Amino acid sequence: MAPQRRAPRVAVLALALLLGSSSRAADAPVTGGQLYKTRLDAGGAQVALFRYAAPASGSGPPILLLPELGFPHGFYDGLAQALQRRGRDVFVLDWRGVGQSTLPVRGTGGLESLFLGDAPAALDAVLAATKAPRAQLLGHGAGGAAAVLLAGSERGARVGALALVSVPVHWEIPNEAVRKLLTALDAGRPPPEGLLDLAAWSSTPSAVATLAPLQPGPDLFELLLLHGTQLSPTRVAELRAGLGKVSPDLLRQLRRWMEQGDLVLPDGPLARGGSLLAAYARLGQHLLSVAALRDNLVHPEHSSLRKQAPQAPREEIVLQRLEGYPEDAGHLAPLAPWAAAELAPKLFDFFEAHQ
Amino acid sequence: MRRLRSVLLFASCAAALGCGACAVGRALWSGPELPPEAEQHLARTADGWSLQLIHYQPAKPLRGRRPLLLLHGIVTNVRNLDYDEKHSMARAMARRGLDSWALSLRSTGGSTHAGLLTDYKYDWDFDTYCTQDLPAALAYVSKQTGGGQVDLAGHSMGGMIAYCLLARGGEAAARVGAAVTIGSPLGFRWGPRFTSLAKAGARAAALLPVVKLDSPTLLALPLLSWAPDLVGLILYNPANMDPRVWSGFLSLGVEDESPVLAAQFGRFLATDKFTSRDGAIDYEAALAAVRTPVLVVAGKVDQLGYTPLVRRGFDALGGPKQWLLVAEENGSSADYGHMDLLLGERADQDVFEPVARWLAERAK
Repeated sequence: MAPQRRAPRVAVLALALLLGSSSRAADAPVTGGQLYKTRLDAGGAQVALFRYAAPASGSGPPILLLPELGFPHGFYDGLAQALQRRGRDVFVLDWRGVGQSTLPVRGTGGLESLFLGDAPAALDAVLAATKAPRAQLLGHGAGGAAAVLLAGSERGARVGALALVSVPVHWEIPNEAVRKLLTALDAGRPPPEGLLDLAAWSSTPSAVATLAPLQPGPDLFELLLLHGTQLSPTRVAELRAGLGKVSPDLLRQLRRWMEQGDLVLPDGPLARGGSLLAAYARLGQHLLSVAALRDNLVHPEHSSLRKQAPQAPREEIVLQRLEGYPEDAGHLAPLAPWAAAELAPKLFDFFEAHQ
Repeated sequence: MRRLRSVLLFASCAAALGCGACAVGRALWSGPELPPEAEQHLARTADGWSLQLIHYQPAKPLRGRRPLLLLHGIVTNVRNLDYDEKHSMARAMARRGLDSWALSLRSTGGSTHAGLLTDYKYDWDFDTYCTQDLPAALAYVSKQTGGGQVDLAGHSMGGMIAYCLLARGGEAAARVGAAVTIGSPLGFRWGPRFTSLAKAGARAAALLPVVKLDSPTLLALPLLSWAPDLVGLILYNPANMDPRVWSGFLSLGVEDESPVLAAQFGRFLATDKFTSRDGAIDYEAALAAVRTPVLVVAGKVDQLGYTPLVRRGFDALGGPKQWLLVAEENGSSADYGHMDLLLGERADQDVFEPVARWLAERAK
């Protein structure tokens, strides 16, 4: 069955699930300021969608936040609640294999299943639940590519403005640590359960040569994610433990994406496949591109929009001290303690201005 | 009349105090002298400037290697490339077997206008550097070293001048064997706040008869020494720079600049285009035809050479080319800012060594 013909049925199912299976007051009307959970069938997995319900005085279209791969919704509590307090319905997805979503069944853990399955299912559910004509999208890291693919797809008419935080445009392997990691994963045997546990992976030494050989170098979590962001040890431990699981196929796709400079996906469960750069080229929505100066996973030079998205009116901000932010930020900037006070208002103002 | 006298008296006192403070600043924070082995040369431009070149001969010259000409950035001079034994790209390259030459652009360092005793107009633009100064220095170094090609390395605006020369092509560009740009932006859109500040700064500077920076820097030296992080926010990563080196460098390495140059930078900023002053040549577009090998070096936390803007230079080049990000993630001792790419405590290992290695590979 073609994905676009299957989509309406899944959307109806998603709506039914949304209305019928919220963790809080499943049959009660949505109450402002509360958090609700529902599950969606996204083809090959049941994914959890969380709604940070707008207060009664809320206005403006709903915001769907598409997290970085492996990051559960709880990582974004601070940011989501800050937008919620300003009057928006905010929805955050747990990708399959992450948080409260189920693990993907065999062969449905690739990026096409997430970006062209989980993400469109979430968008359909958000629109159905809020009865809004359009949703605004907020993407972080590789998850932001799903936002671009949605906005550049047949669902694009239902997508308003996009804010992209550390989202690759023309991604390259950012450093030797990532190169070695991807090579090792490619050469290694798949784990017995068929999925890679990112929580365990995060404490692997980064293999970056250090000038002080007696001192241990940073592990992969510290080098690729934490770099540039000051977090308490407790918070770091929580984040490490909260990372989800991904399929080896997904990591191979990430590698191809970085090596080829474009992400080209086959059809997914709910949407047609295609090229990420082609989706950027089709964008007509307002774009806010947010770069973090010290990001070691998606460098600013890899997330900067230049010739891409020529038709999209755009704004860019850089999370660095020179621009008034508390630190020269890294990849975890949206999770930083200051994100609610410093980043959320910028995102909110952008979304308000481009309803 | 009395009032006029008071004003004159006040102005004289202020000037005397200013001169005194400058002298104290230079005395207290002055950097080191150049060593005896630093040879001084002068290259003549077609429009009458004598440009200072500092030459270091390698103790153990490598056979078959081209000489290397180094270019400093805006509002500074050759001391940016040659501060002291530890903080000197010029000497680091000579230690690695390269015949190393460092240039002071017109009106900076020991460069003077021939035939004029004192005064000259600050009326040159960016194009002047790549059509007059750099070709004259390349021709001089080439002649002094046997007439062959010369490698080129430029920091910040020095790298932009190298891009300009290569983009323009012709005899001067053909003299370049390989080039290295270090922290050299080719685009002019930083974060919104800094972009606005830069635009306002360029507009204001363009209105002045001369962009006066030397004496004000000396006057401000005590303040800068007390609050180095304020400067570090823009110019370097404080984790990477010895404050004494920075103060010493400021006492020796800051220069006044031409308002016409500032106006051309104002146009770069206004249009986000790297073009000749009259707009006729799009240097960025012309780089697609360049086939000279270029290494593009960027500092991870360089605020002036913000990586997407430095990357624009890399993307514009026709190739062969290589990208080097000086960052902890690639094994450097720290994430590098703008000035620490040359003056950082471990720049020798983190920057000069990979640059020398790349140049060696190009010589094969």
